[in-house]
Amino acid sequence: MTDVTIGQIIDDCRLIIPELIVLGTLCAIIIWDMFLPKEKSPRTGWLALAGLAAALGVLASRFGEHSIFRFDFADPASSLATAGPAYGFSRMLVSDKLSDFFKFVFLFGTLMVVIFSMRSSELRGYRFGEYYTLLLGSVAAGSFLVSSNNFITLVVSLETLSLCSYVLVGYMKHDRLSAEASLKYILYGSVASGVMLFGLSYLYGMAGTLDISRSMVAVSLNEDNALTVLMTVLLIVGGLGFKIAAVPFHFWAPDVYQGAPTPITAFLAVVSKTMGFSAILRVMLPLFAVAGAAVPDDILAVRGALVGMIETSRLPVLFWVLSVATMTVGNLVALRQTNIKRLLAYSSIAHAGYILMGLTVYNNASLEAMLFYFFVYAFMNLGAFFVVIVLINQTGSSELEAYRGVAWKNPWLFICLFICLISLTGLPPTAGFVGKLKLFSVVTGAALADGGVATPTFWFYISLVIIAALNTAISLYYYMKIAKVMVFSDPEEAAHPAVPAVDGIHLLAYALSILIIFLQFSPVESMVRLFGP
Amino acid sequence: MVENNSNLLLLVTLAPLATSLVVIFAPRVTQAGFARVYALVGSIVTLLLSLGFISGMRADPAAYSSFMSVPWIEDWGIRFTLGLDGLSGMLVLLTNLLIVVSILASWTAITDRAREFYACLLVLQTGIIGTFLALDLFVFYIFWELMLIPLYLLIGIFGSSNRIYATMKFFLYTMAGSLLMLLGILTLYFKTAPLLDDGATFSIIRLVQVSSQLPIETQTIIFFAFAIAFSIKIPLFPFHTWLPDAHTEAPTAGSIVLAGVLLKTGVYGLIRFAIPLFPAVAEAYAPLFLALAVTAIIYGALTALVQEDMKRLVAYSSVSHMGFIVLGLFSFREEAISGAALQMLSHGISTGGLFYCVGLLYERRHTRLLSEFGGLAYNMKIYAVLTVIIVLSSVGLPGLNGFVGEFLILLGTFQVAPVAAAIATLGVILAAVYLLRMTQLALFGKLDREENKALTDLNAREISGLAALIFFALWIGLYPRPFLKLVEPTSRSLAELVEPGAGELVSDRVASIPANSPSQSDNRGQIDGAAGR
Repeated sequence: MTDVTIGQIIDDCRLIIPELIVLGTLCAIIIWDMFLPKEKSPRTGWLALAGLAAALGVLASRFGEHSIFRFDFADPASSLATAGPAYGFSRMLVSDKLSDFFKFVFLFGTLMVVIFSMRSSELRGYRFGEYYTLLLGSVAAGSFLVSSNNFITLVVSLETLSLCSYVLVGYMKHDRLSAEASLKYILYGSVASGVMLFGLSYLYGMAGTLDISRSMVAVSLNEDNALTVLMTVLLIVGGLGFKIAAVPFHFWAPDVYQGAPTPITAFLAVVSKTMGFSAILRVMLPLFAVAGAAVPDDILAVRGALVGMIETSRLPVLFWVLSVATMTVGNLVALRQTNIKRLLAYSSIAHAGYILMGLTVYNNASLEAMLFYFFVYAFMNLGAFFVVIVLINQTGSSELEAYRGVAWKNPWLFICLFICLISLTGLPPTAGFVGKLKLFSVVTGAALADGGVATPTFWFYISLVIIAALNTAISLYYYMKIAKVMVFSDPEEAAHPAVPAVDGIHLLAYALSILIIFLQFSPVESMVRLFGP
Repeated sequence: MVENNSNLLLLVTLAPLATSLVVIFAPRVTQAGFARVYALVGSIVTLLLSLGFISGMRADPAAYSSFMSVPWIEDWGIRFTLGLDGLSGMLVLLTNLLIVVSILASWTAITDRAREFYACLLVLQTGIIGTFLALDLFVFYIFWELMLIPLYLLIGIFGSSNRIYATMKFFLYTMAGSLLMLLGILTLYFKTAPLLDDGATFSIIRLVQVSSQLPIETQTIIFFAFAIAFSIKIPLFPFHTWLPDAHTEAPTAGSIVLAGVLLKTGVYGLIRFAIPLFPAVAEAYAPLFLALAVTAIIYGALTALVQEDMKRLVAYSSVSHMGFIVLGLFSFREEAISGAALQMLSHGISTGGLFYCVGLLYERRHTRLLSEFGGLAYNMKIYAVLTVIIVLSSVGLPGLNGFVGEFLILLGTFQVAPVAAAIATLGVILAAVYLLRMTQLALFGKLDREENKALTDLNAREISGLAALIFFALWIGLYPRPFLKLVEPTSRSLAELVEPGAGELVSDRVASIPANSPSQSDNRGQIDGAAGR
C-alpha cells in the first residue's frame, strides 16, 4: 500500500476512462448551467448526451478486454493475484467483462433516460443543470459499484448512487407525491444500508479482509461457517435487495415509482435496479466462477468443498424463497393496479423475481442468462416507460382510465407499447421470450443435472420453474389489462394530439429492437459470454 | 425431395402475414374500405398457392413432400424447419378454405375498424399454418403462441357483450398450457442432448429417434406437459370451460376459425409430437384419455341439449365432437386414427358451417336465442335448406362428411374398448337430438314474430361461402378415399408405434378397392431420410 506512485495512479486511471468522461461532463454541466438563464437550462441535456455517448464509445472500443475473475484450483494463492481481470488503485477497483457489460447497460440506460427527460413535459419549469448533474453522478456511482473489488468502494458507491436518486425522486418539489416518495425512499434506503453494513461486519470478521474476491473465496473454503455465510449473504442481499426491490424489501417501490418524475421512474426501474443486481453479482461472482469452472480431477476435492459450501449454507434455498416471493407478490399485487406507473413498478418487482431464479443455480449458464435478461429487460422496460411518458405528455395523467381508446387515436403508439408488453410477458416473437427461455432453461437444466427425475433436486428446481411459468400466465392478465383499456374501449371525445415524429421514431426503434433481438439473439449472447472466447 | 417446394412452403406461410400488412395500410374509403377486398384477394391467393401442394401430397403422403430447413440460431441447434405431409397439407388447405369463408362471413358484419379486423385474422392464419408445418419444436412453439395474440384481439375488440371476460379466460387458460409445454420442450431438449451425437436439437425428426431411450418417468412428465397443453386447446374435458365463453362472444369469423382449425392444432400436436415422441407413455395412459374422451362426448352432448343460445349449443357440440377425435386417436387402431384425422377435417367443415349459419341469423336479428326464432323456413328458404344440410353433416348422416369419420372411430375403438365405443355411440344419438332440436326451434314451427317475418334470405355472397363448405361435406361423405389416403401413412405409423404390426390399409376397407399403392414404404425411414440430407 505504501509504495503507490503517481505514475501507477495515472496508469490505473486508464481502467476508468468512461467514468472519468462522465465525471468530467458532470463538472462541465455544473459550470455551464451557472451561466444559463433558467429557461435555457434544458440545453445542458445535450452536453449530458454527448458525454454519455462518448463514454459509451470508449467502453465499446475496449469491451471485454479483461477477462473475468476465475479461481485457479491448482494454485489458489497466485490465482488471486494474477488471474484475468485488471485490478487498479490497490485492488480497490477491478475491470473485467462483468463490469464492462454492466457499465454498458448503465450508460445506455442513462442515455435513454436523458432523452426521456428532454421529451417529458413533467419536468418543464424546473432547472435542468442539477438534474443532469445528479443523473450523471448516479451512473458514475453505479459504474464504480460494479467495478468495486473492495467492500469499502462498494458501500461508498452505493451510498453515492442512493443520495443522487433520493434527490432525483423528489425533483418535482412542488408536487406532493414526489416529495413524499423522496422521503420514503430515504427512510427505507438508510435502513437497508445499515443492514448491509451489519452483514459486511460479519464477513470482515470471518475473512479478515474487505477485498471482495479474496474474502468470498476465503469464507467459502471454510466449511464450518456455513450458517454464518448464509446470515452474511442474507444481510448483504437484504441491503442490496432494497435496490432491486425484492420482496420483502420492496415496500418503497410502488410509491416511489408513482411519485417520481416518469424519466426517473424509468431510471429506477431499469438502471438503478440493474445496478443493485450488478452489486449482488459482483459479491457472488467468486461462487459462480468456482462452481462453473471445468477442473482437473486432482483438485476436485477443493471444488467439492466449495460446491458443498453453497449447498450446506442453503444459498439456493435462500434465493429460491426470495425469487418465488418476489415474483408472486409482484404479480399478484400488480393485478389490482389502476395507475400505470404503479403497475409497472409491481411488474418490475416481478421481473426481479424472475432474475433471482438465476441465483439458485451456480454455473456459467445461469450467470449469462441473468446478464442476457438485464439486456432485454432494459429494452422492453425503457420502451414501455417511454410510451408512458408520451401518454402523460398527451393526457397529463398516469391513470389507466385516462388512456381509454388511445389505440384508435394513435395506433402506432399502441403497437409499440403492445410489443413491449408482449415482451414483458415473455411471449414470442419478442426479446423477452428469449430472456425468459434462457432463465427457464437454466433452472430446468439444473433440475435435470443429476440425471434422475423425482429426486429432491429435481423437485426443488422444477417447482421453481413451474411457479415462474404460472406467474408468467398471471402477468399476462395485467399487461393485457393495459392493452384492453386502450383497445377495447371507445376513445374519449377529447382530442389526442398526434405523437411528435421524433418520439414516434424513437419508439419504433425500441419495438424493432425487441423483435430483432428475438430473431437473432446470438450477438447478444456473445456479448454476455463471460467465460471462454 | 428435400428442400423440394421449399419456396412455396415459405410463401404459403408468409402470404397471409404480407397480406395483413397490405390490409392495415388499406385506404379507408367506405365503411369497410378496401380492407375486406384486399383480405379476400389475399386469402384466395394463399388458398390457390396451397393447392400447389396437392400433387406432392398425393404422390407420397408419407414423406415430407415439401420440406425446408435453414439454420436459425446455431448455438441452440435451432433450425427453421417446415415440412408438409399428407396430414398437415390437408389441415393447411382446410385453414385456407375456412379463412376465405370467414372473410366472406364478415363482409358486412364487420364495418367498424375493418382493417384491424382483417389484419388480425390474417396474422392468425399465418400462426395456424406455421403450427401445422413446423417440424422444429422451437419454431412450433413460436407459431403456437403467435395464434394467441390475434385471436385475443379478434374476440376482445369485435366480440359481443361479455367479450372481455371470455378473452381473458381463453388467454389465461391457453397461456398456462403453453408455458407448461415450453417447460416440457426444454426438459426434452436437455435430456436428449447427451443421446444425440450431432448436438442438442429441437428437430422433431431427430428427437423421435432418441426419445424412447429416456427413462420412463422422464417420458411421462414430458408427455403430460405436452398433453395438458394440447388438451386445453382441443379442449378435452375437464379443460373445456373456456370454449363456450370464447365461442359465444367471438365474432362469426372468429368462431369459424376457432372451431374449424384452432381446436385441431391441439389434436395435431398430439399426433405429430406428443404420441410419436412418447408412444409407450401414450399407450400406458390411453385408458385415461379414452375415459376423458367419453366423458367429453356425453357431457358436451347433454349440455348442448339444454342450451338456449345457439352459439353456446354449437360450442358444446364441439366439445362432444372433439371427444370423438380424441377417442379415435387413443384407441391406437389404424382405422380409428384415420377416422380421427378425417373427423378433424369434417368437424372443421361442419362446425365452421354451423357457426356461419348462426352468424347469418345473428347479423340479421342481433340475437342468438332459440326462443327468438321459429318458422324461418317459410321466408328464408335457401337458408333453411343449406342449414339443414350442414346440420345433418354434423349429426353424421351417411352420405355426408360427419358419418365417415365417426364410423371409422367407433369401428376402431370397438375392437379395443367396446364399452367406451358403446357409450360414445350414445353421443351420436344425442347429437341428432340437440342439433335437430335447434333446427326445429329455429327453422320450423310457426313464423309468429314480426321481426322474423321481415328477414331477408341469403344473397349470393353468403350462399357461396356455405356452398363451398357443403361441396366438401358431400365429397368427403360420398368419396372419402382421397382424404383417407392422405392421412393413412400417419395413422399407420402411429398405430405401429404403439402396437407394432397392427393395421391394414383403411381406404381399402372403406372403398373396397384393391390397393396397389406403391407408397407403403416405412414412414419412419422416409422421415429419417429427409432429416439426413
